[in-house]
Amino acid sequence: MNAANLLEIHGLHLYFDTYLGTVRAVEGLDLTVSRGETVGLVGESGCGKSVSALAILGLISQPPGRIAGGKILFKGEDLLKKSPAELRNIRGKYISMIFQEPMSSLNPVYRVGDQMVEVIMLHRRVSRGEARKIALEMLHEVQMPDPEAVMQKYPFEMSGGMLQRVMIAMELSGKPDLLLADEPTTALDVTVQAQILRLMKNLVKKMNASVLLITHDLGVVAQTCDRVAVMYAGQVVEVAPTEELFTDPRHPYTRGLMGCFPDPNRQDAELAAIEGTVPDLINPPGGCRFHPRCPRAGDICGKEGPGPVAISDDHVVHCFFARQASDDHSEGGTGKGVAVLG
Amino acid sequence: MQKSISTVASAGGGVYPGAPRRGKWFKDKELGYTVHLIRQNPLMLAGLMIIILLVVVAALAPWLAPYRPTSVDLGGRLSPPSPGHLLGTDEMGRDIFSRIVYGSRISIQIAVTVVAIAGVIGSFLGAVSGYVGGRLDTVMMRVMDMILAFPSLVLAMVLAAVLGPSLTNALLAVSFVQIPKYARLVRGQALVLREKQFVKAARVIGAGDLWIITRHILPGSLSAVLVLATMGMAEAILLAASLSFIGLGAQPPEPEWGAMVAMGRDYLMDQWWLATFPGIAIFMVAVGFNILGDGLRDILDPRLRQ
Amino acid sequence: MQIWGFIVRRILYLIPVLIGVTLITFALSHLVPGDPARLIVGQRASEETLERVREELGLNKPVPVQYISYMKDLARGNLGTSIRSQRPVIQDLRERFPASFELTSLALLFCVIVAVPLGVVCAVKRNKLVDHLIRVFALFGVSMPVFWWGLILLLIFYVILGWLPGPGRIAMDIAAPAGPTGMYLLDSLIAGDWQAFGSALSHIILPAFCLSYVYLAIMTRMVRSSMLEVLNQEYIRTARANGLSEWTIVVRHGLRNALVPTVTILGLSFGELIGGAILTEAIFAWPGLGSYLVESIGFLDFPSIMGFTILICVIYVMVNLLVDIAYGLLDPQIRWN
Repeated sequence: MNAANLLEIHGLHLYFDTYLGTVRAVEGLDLTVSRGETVGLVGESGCGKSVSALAILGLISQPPGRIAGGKILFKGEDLLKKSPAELRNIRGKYISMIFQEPMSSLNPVYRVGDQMVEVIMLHRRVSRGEARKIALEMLHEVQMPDPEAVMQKYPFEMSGGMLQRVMIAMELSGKPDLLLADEPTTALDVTVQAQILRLMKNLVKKMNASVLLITHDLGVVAQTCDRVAVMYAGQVVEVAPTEELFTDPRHPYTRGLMGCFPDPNRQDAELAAIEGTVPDLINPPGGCRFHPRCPRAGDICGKEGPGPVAISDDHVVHCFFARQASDDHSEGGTGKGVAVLG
Repeated sequence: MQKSISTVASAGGGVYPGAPRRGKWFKDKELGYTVHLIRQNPLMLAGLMIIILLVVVAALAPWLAPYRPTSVDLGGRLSPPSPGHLLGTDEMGRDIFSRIVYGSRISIQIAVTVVAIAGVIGSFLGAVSGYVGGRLDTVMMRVMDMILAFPSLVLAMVLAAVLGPSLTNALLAVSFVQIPKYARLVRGQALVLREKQFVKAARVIGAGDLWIITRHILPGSLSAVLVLATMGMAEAILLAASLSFIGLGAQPPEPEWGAMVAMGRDYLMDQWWLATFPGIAIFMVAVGFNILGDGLRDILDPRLRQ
Repeated sequence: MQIWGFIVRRILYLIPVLIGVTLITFALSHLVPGDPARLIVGQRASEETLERVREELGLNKPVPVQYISYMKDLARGNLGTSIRSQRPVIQDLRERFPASFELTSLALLFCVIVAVPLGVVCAVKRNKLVDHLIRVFALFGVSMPVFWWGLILLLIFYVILGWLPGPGRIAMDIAAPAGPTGMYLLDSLIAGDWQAFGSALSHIILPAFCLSYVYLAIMTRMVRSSMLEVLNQEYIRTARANGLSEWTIVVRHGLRNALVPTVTILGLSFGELIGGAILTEAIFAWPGLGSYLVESIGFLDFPSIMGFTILICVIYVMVNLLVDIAYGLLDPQIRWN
């Protein structure tokens, strides 16, 4: 274990046993997050990114879920081996999580302030009055106008953007080492999205926390992440520093995603869709899981899974053709778009 | 497809990864899933068995019962259970087993009559009320609220008392009391259904209100009504038996189970079998209908299916 | 505060319902077979007496006029005269009320104490053995013919085992405690009469247990299903992700939300409790409102029957009002709009 790595996931297998068969939601996931780093986990919905985050916190309900293998090392200790009580102590205190729907992530029958105080008292071991002060400070930190009044409000009295600020304030109040953010801005208005992201980024930097940002939105990734891992059908297909990923994507799936990403400089451009459909995770395709949809799949792709190919120190691709020149893809023009959004 | 997989994966809760792509597959898997749900619910099968048993016993009563339900034998009155009289005899020397066997016919009569009357009238009122809406709906629902302002047993008792004690009147009273349940349920369904595209389309091509109500609203509410009706049968049997117990329902010597319990009450101290066995019969049948209703709800509820 | 507006709206909504109730009872009184005047004066009375009673009762006036005077009487608390006791119905009801109130409150208390934990355990241990056992227990409860259940309890605990006394509120040889409430348990406590208290307590156990089962079963099922729904909500996931203990999650975040729908359904099925009370009182010779109704029906004493019905409807509607208010207190969103 590299001492700089806060989180290391090795070969995580996560299955769901259903009536129709076992859904292999995550199969052999490798991922690292180092201290102070923001890592993006990108992929289509259903590729296993959210469940991976839930697995880190031990929040997969079993059954139907099942951890079929792998390790999740947090500060060198395997979270999968922790007792429920130990996990509880880690949740919210060392690792926090923000969810997609701020509207339904807070309990509707309690005041926002009381919910924050409850969590703060639990993790900081302080009196109620002390906890209130911390809550107010945190609300101030997330630039909430009139924190005193906000504390007295019920969730249904606030907008989604405001609630997501509350969530960020609440989740960062325990000074966590790692923040898991699952599509934190997807449910919000476009104008609010950028504000929330900027806010989160600044706060995290200030607290020197690491972030695992789960999203399907490459714009969000470009704006916030240091490194990106692209997931497809339960596996990581490409990991690279953000800039390198956008300028030199190697995996055909990553390139496909870039093609799906609208280029604001080209008004006429249509959204390019990736051919085919998301694979059935009960009977995933053999070999490389992407090969049925892959424009450059060869015979070998259906037979065996590609191992990791290191393009540079921190750019790894799971593709047999990863070393071939990267500029032959037809999608093109995506780098510029990213620069604008970023 | 995409979406359903993601729900399973991200929520980590559901067990059914949604409907596959093609039409044919869709149907097969739906059916397969239904069978799977039924198999997962052994209790529901037990309920079904009880109801089937009830029907079989009622149909074969003359062959199953060793005695006529009303044949009096004063010499052998109040005799305890024995091989000759499996469940003993009552205060008139009538064979309790035979009376319970014949009583199953009355139970079925109660369940079917009440659900037929209340279900049909209630569903129709609800469908009209919800579909037509406006002032008619308001008035109709206020009337239903008034009926619901009476506890059901109280209203049934008062109605039965006013109409005069007899099984028919008890059934009418119980049916009347049950109407608002169906009306409210179907009205709720109608409010949803009338906004659906196919109903609007039917209206555009000139279908009449009655046509839409009978062809779209009522069939669309069928599965919900079915669940309510199954549980309603249990309730009808319990209510009717309670009325008979008080003396407002079936009159002696009819082998109605509630009336039999009422008779047995006077002999509780020494001849426990008089009240015990007919009560078990009522209880079993109510359990049967209730389990079946629970099971049907689980299978038909689209929310639980996902 | 907004809660007051909410309560006032609820009360206003009751008015048409209560008027409807009186319309129905009025109509029913007129459907009664036979001539009410004849019922009062008896078969041997002369035509003149009959006519005079008709006049007194206003039976020869047009129906709307009769309804108005009926309403006026109701407003004054005049529910007519009981044919059986020859006393004002309201007086009979007032006398009978404490016994019923005592019985139902005790049963209700028992229900809440037992049903809420059972329902929560079911939801938390979903599909485990405990869940199945409790569900079967609840299923039996909702399928139980109350009158038979009461007899079986008597048979087992009184006739066979002899652990508890039989029907009645208190032992024959013990003087009923005289007191302000009319509830034996309370009155004997106030008087410090331990012997009476013991006897009253031992007498109320079986009927209270009998009455509570059905309602307890309904309640357990309600708590279970709303708890299951709540435990699937995202804020529960947030609470877990925040490291709250399972107990805090279930009780503070789960139960509080699950009680909102539960309380409403309970108000609506309060009628089951009333129905159960009528049968229970009949079985256990409990001198409350329920046995009053059954006795009156046996006598075809329609003024008493209708008086009882109106009183019960008012109670039932009031309980639902309280439930609505509780609902408003539990769910801040309701209170605000």
